[in-house]
Amino acid sequence: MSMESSVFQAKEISKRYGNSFALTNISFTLTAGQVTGLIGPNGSGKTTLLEIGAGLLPADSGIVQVSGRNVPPTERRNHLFYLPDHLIPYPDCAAMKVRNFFCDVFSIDFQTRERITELTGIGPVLGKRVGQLSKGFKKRLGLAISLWSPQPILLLDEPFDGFDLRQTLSIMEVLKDTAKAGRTLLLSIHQLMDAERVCDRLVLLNQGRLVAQGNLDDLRNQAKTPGSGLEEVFLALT
Amino acid sequence: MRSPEKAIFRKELGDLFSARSTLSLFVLSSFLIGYGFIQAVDLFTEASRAAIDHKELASGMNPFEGILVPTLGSLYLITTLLFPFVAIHSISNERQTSTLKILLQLPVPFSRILLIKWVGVFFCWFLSTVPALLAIGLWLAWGGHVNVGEYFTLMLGHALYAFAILGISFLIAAITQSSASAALLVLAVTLGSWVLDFSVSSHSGSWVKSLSFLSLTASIRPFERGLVLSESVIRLLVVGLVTGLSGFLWLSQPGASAKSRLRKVAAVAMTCLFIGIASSFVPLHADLSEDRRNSFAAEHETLLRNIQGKLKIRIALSPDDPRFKDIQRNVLSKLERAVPDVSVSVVTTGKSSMFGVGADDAYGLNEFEYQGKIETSRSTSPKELLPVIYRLAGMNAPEVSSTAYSGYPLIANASPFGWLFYLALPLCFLFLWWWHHRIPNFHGGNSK
Repeated sequence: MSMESSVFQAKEISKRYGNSFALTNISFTLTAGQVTGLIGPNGSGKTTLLEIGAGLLPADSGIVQVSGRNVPPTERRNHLFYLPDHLIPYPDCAAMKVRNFFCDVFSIDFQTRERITELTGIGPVLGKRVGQLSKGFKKRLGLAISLWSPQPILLLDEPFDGFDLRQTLSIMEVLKDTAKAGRTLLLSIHQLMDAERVCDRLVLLNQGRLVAQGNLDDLRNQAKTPGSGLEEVFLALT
Repeated sequence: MRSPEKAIFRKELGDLFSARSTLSLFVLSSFLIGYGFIQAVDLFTEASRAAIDHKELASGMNPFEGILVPTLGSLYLITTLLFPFVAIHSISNERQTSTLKILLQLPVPFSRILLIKWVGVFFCWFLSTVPALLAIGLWLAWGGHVNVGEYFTLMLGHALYAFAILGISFLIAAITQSSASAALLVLAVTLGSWVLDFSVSSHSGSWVKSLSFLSLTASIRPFERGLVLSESVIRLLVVGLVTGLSGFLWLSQPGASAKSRLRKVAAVAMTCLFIGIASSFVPLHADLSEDRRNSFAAEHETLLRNIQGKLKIRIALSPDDPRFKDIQRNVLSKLERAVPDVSVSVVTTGKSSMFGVGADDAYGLNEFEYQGKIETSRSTSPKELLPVIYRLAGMNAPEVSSTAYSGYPLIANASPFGWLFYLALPLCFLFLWWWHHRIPNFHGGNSK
């Protein structure tokens, strides 16, 4: 992967909670217009890394660069939008009010608002309170908010959690189209099958350490498991 | 205001108005203020029946302490016990649902979003004073008297207290993870302040008094006497600013390390405290009470200001003695504001016995010293003590021409208007809550 096309670089990111290391010297890059998967089991540091990347959590060391320029945590919101896993925006409000609020704040035009409403499939539940939505629809609403956001880089934490297979496939198509339209996506995923289906590149984490990064073929070569799936590769590398 | 800010302000107000904590604040303020007002009018009317025919009694009929203070007194309770929940809701709910993380990434500076939240919450407090405005409107409609200066002094005191409580609530909501723990901590602070004030007033001689500066409740007292003291204003402002700004700093820089955030919080706290301490060296006051209960007559004040030397007063009374409170309120506090250099000390010569008779002959014999000359007096009245001071200072007592306060007795019956506070206003507030809480009519995905 050439450095010229990388739009985001995390360098030597470390984070410690008390005496235990959550992240140890993590470095990786994101390429413009690609979907990158941050892969790892529960507790491997995916969410911590995303929140540090978005400037919502302090790192003990390391830097984040966007388009080759160091970006301090306070300025990262100009470039990156992070969608947390357990987001329930304004649970007492109707989903429609929440949608309109974010579209007003992001200055989204009517056509874009309706297009993303349709793409994410939240139309039928706009008249319900957010707190009463199923896990899948809460996730879709969060996804819609991230798609309305103006930042070019999206960091999505477990975007397929709570979806059945059909829903997962349809949301994957939406995310692929978003990347094709020029946005850069980093998805934290713990389901390796999902990651294999949607990601152009993969960053493998285990116990807060970077195991490998690259496309599936690169990882197969590193794991010396030609022709295998991501699950076998992951097991071989960790 | 640009469009995103407008949308955030609309959302914040809608969110606050649809919260149960805000509904409780509004409805209970209506009940409590209405109850306080009706009781106050009943008592004032009882006292006025005798005063209307006797001028001497009429001078004691002061609507400020008879109507305004008890009516707005409920506001103190509401601000202490309910208002923090509204402020906490505004921060903690969004933190618990991860919405705060989204707000931090909106294309509007987060400090501006927090300012909008602050304005929204304070607006809710202001709306909770609507029942008091209604009460005052009724009082005026019945021919009652309200002095504008006194009203604004009282409102200023309550608003500054609410400002301090809002700051404390914001800070605690910012540093705690759940609304329940934030509510517990804020109540510990506000009720702790109230308990401290209560302890100070009941054990005025003990070590507890040295902690009285920590009590926010005590800071409202001067305003309830129609007195604006720079010391009280600055104390409430500093508490509100230090805590509020610290909460702002803590929330708005989540990507900064705890150490760096603590450094900034400490810098803000030190700056505000420095300003507060520096301004306390220039004590200013304004007695806005109509009957000037906090000051001597203007002629006395002018003369007392010319006393250049140090006036030393030694009080030989126990702080628990009612005479101590008399002399403190009617003489000492006024002298401290009028004479440029005065020192008051309490000497413990003995204690009053169970029936108020001194066990020591020197008990109750207060001493006044000016440039080596000493006079003593057992009086606690300014009519007798001011001439003592003038004699010591070699001055002649001035002719006092000020007209005496004549009072405003009024016979009124507030009970028939109870429905306004117990039914009409709560229903209005309930409608406001329902309007913002309801699911709007929805006709497909194109509805705005």
